[in-house]
Amino acid sequence: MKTADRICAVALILASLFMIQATSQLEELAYQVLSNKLFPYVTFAFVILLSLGLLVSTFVTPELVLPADYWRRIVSRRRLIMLGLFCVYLVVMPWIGFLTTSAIFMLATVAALSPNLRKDLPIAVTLTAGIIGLIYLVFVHWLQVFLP
Amino acid sequence: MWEQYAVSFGLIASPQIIFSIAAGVLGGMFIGAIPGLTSTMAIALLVPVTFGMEPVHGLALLMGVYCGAISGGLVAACLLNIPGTPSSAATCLDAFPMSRKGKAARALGLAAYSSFFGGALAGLCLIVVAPTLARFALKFGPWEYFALVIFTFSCVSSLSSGSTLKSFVAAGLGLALALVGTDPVDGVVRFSFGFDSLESGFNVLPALIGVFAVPQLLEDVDEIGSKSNLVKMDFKLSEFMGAFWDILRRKFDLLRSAFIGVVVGILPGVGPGLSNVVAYAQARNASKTPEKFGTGELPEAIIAPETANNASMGGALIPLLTLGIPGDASTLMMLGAFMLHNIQPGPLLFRDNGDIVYSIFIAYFVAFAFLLIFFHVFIKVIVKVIAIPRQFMVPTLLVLCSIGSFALNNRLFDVYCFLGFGLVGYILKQLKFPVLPVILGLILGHMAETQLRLSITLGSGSLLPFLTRPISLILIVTSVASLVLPWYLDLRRKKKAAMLAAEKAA
Repeated sequence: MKTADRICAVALILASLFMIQATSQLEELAYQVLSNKLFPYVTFAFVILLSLGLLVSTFVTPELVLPADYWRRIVSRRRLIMLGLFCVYLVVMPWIGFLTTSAIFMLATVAALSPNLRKDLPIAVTLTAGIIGLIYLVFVHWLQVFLP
Repeated sequence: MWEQYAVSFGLIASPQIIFSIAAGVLGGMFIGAIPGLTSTMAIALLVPVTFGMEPVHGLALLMGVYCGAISGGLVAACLLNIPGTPSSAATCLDAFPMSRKGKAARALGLAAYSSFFGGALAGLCLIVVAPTLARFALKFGPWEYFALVIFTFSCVSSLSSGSTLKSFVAAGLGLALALVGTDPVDGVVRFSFGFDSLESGFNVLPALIGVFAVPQLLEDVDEIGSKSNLVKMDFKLSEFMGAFWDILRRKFDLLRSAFIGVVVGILPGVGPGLSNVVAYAQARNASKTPEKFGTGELPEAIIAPETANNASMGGALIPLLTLGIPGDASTLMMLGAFMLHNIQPGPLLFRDNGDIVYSIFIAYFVAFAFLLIFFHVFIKVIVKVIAIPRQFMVPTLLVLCSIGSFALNNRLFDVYCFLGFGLVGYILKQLKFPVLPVILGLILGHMAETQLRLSITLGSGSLLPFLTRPISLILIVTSVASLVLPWYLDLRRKKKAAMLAAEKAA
C-alpha cells in the first residue's frame, strides 16, 4: 500500500502543479474586486500540501497489512471483463442505439460471467426483455427522453 | 406554520403522490435488502425518474425510497448475516444468531418495528428542530457559511473510516474537480481545456452515481457463483407482530438509541452507518447482561441499532434542509435531487418554498407508515429478492445507472462522466481513500468559493471577521477540535498503554 500511496501522492502533486500553471493563464476581468485565481490557487496548494503529507506519512507509518491476493483481486479477470464490456457498451451506444446495445450488453455479461450459462440464459433473456421494456415505458414513453 | 402544513397536506394528499411514496418505499425496501446496494444507490437509480415530475412529487418519491432502503437492509442482516446496507451492520450481530435459533420472524419483527419507531421519533425531532435552526441560520453571513463548509470537511474527515489525511486528500480532489467549468462568481470559463462539454462543469449526479455504484458493482462481480448463506425461515405473522410488545417494554433503549441516531445523523458526513454501531455499543454498556450480546437472545441488541439507523435519517435531513449541508451519502444524493429541481436547500428554503419543506415532512411520516404496512405484507417476497444472483443484478444496475445519467441532460457526456467518476471511485476505494469527501468537495466547492470570495470582499481583504464573528469562530474552533481531539486522545491512549506495559514488564 505504501508504494501505491507514494505513486498517488506524486501524481497528485504533479497534477496540481500543472493546474497551478493553468490557473496562472486564467483571464482576469477588469471589474473584479478579488482575483478569480485565488480559490483555485488555494485549492491546488491545499492538495499539494496534503499530498506531501501523505508522501511523508508513508515513510513514518507502519505498512498496512492486506490480504495476500489484495492487488490481484483489484484486477481480477471477472472485474476486467465486466469493465471491458461496459466500456465497449458505452463506446458503441451512439452508433447502435441505447436499447439494442443495452440488451446485447446484459446478455453478453451474463454469457461471460455466468457459472452455469445453460441455466441462466433463459432468465437473462426474460430479464433483459423486461428491463428494456421498462426503460422504454418509463424513459421514452413517459418521460419522453430522446435515447441515443 | 399551520397554514403551510395545511397547504402541504393538500399537495401530498393527491393519489399520485401517495402512490409514488408507496412505490418508493417498496422499491427502496427491495434495493436496500440486496446486500451491497445502499440507500444511496437506491436514490441514485430513482433520481432521474423524478426528472419529469413536479418537485413535491419527485422529492416525496425519493423520501419513500430513502426510508425504504435504509430499513430494507435489515432483512439481509437478519437472514444472511450480511448487512443489506452499512446502516444495518450492527443488526447482524444479534439478529442473525436469533434467526438461526429458529426465531427469524421475531428478529425481523424487532428490527422492522424498531425502524418504524426510530424513524417516527426522528421525524418529530425534524419538525421541531429544523424550522428553529433555519430561522437561526438566516443570521449567517458568508463568513459563517465558509466556516460551516470547513466544519463539514473536518467532520467527514475525522469521522470517516481510514486515514484522516487520505480523507482530506479526497476532499481536496473533490474541491479541485468542482473548479472545472464556469466560475460561480464571475462566470469565466476555466479548466475546460477546449472541451465544450466541460464548460458547464461536472454534473453532480452522474459523478455521485458513478463514485458510489461502479466500485460496488465491480466488487460484487467477485461474488458470482458463491453459495448463499440464507437462513430458511418459517414465517409466522403472529411471531413477527409479537415483537411490537417487546419493543414497548424497552422504552429506554428505544429512546436512547433514537437520541443517538438523531445526534449522529445531524453531524455532516456520517449517518446511519455509524449511528447503529454507536447505539449498539451504548445498549451493551447499559445492559445488565452485556455478555449475552451477540448471542441472539436479547431484543435490545436488535432494537438499538435499528432504531438508531432510522433515527439518523431524520437527523441527516436537518442540516440538509436548514443549511444545505448533507448529513450523509444518501442526503448528498437528495441534495443532488433538489438541485435537479432547481431548489436550493438552506434557511431560505423555509421562507421561499415552505410548501416543499412541509410536504417533505409529511411525506416522511407517510413513508414510515407505508414501511410498517409493507413489512407485514411483503416480507416473504423481500426475502426472495435478497438471493438474486449477481450475474443478473450487476449488468441490470449498470444499464439503469447509464440511462439515469443520460436522462438528466440528454447528453452522452454525462454517461462518460459516470464511468470516469466510477473508475476514480474504484481506484480510490482500492487505495483506501474514502469517496464521500470527493463528492462533498464537488458539491460544496462552489459554495466554498462563493462564500470565501464574498467574505474577503466584504471584509475589505481581511480574514479577521472569521475570528471576530461568534458563530464563525465557534465553527472554526469546533473544526480544529474535531481534528486535533481524536489525534490527542489516541496519543494519550497509546502513552497509557505503553506505561502499563512498562509497569507490567517491571
